[in-house]
Amino acid sequence: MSNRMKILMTDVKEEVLVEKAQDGDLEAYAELVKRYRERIYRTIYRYTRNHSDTDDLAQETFLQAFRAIKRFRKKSGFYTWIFRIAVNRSLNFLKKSGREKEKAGYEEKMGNIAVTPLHSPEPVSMAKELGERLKEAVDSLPLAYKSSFILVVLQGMTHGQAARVLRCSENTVSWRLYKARKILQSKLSPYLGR
Amino acid sequence: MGCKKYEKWISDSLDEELNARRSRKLASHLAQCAACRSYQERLRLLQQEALRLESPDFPPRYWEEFSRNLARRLQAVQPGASDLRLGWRSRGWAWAGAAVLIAVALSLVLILRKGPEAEENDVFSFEKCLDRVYGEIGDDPQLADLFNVALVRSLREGSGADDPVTRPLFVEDPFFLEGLSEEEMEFLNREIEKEIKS
Repeated sequence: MSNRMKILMTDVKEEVLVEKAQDGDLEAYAELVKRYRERIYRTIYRYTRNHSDTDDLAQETFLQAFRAIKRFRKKSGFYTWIFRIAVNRSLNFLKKSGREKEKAGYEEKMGNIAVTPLHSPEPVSMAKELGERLKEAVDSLPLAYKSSFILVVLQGMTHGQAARVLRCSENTVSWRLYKARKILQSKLSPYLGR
Repeated sequence: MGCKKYEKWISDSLDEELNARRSRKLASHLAQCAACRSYQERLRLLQQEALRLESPDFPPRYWEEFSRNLARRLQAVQPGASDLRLGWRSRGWAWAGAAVLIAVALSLVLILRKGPEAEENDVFSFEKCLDRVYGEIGDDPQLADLFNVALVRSLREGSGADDPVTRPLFVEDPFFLEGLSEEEMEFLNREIEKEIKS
């Protein structure tokens, strides 16, 4: 493809690219992939915390979306639709790989750290440790809460956008976030101060 | 107990999803509640820290390679040749399964209700009332939809809530009740109790 073509592709509206992709146009689909690959990758990574699995799942997400693209009826945006595929893939992956069981054991560990912070109470190390503990605590959240937390807090979606991805109501997203935060702040209370 | 509502609002406010009326109420509550102020501070710190969490960043070369690999795999794929089983044919099995489960659950409820203890313990139960609704709806998605719409409309009218509620899926969403606000739950309880008395 010439440089001129490439420039033109980046200017094409998403709806047009989707229509072309539905007709089997791989270049149009490649442009859609280019627009969303980083965001999709980051979202999946927040579930897996592992680059090799994330890479596989991101590729699978785009492959699955292309296979199913003829059935995309534009009731939601392409972005919402492909995010839903990525989130479902990630959740299935976590369930299949049995990580949730590991997390259950981890829950106890997290319970313990809530009583005794591991290292010195110096501000810098506390802050660094808070980051690490937060990552672990987010990983150990129940999947429904974790999904809302990842999409809204880490991806910056509104409750409405997350609700469309997760196929639930905005109110549900709001309650899940409230509960996720409640769990996180109680687990990390030694690092958050009184 | 009263602070639970405000804790929820603090969470919403961090996502900039709290409406003006509630924001004003929250501000005046925070002015007089040290516990909630401290809770808000802790959540703010949590939020800041969460935003600092590692986010993978790769050079453009990585993404070019990603797209190249994908393009190779896409060559062998036709759009529409989906391995996603979302069609009605496969959904049919899911609906049939759901119908059987509902039938079994209803039979169990009916059998249990006939026991002598059932009468003794026949106090108001929110779940029991909903069982009746579930029974009526069965596996009819249109009926479920109609019920959702009617329920949401009456909740809005009754609680005077000005929050936009986006069509909660009552039957499909296990968190539906969890997602209602305190006013909405109170209203729902009141209405059901009234219904039972009459």
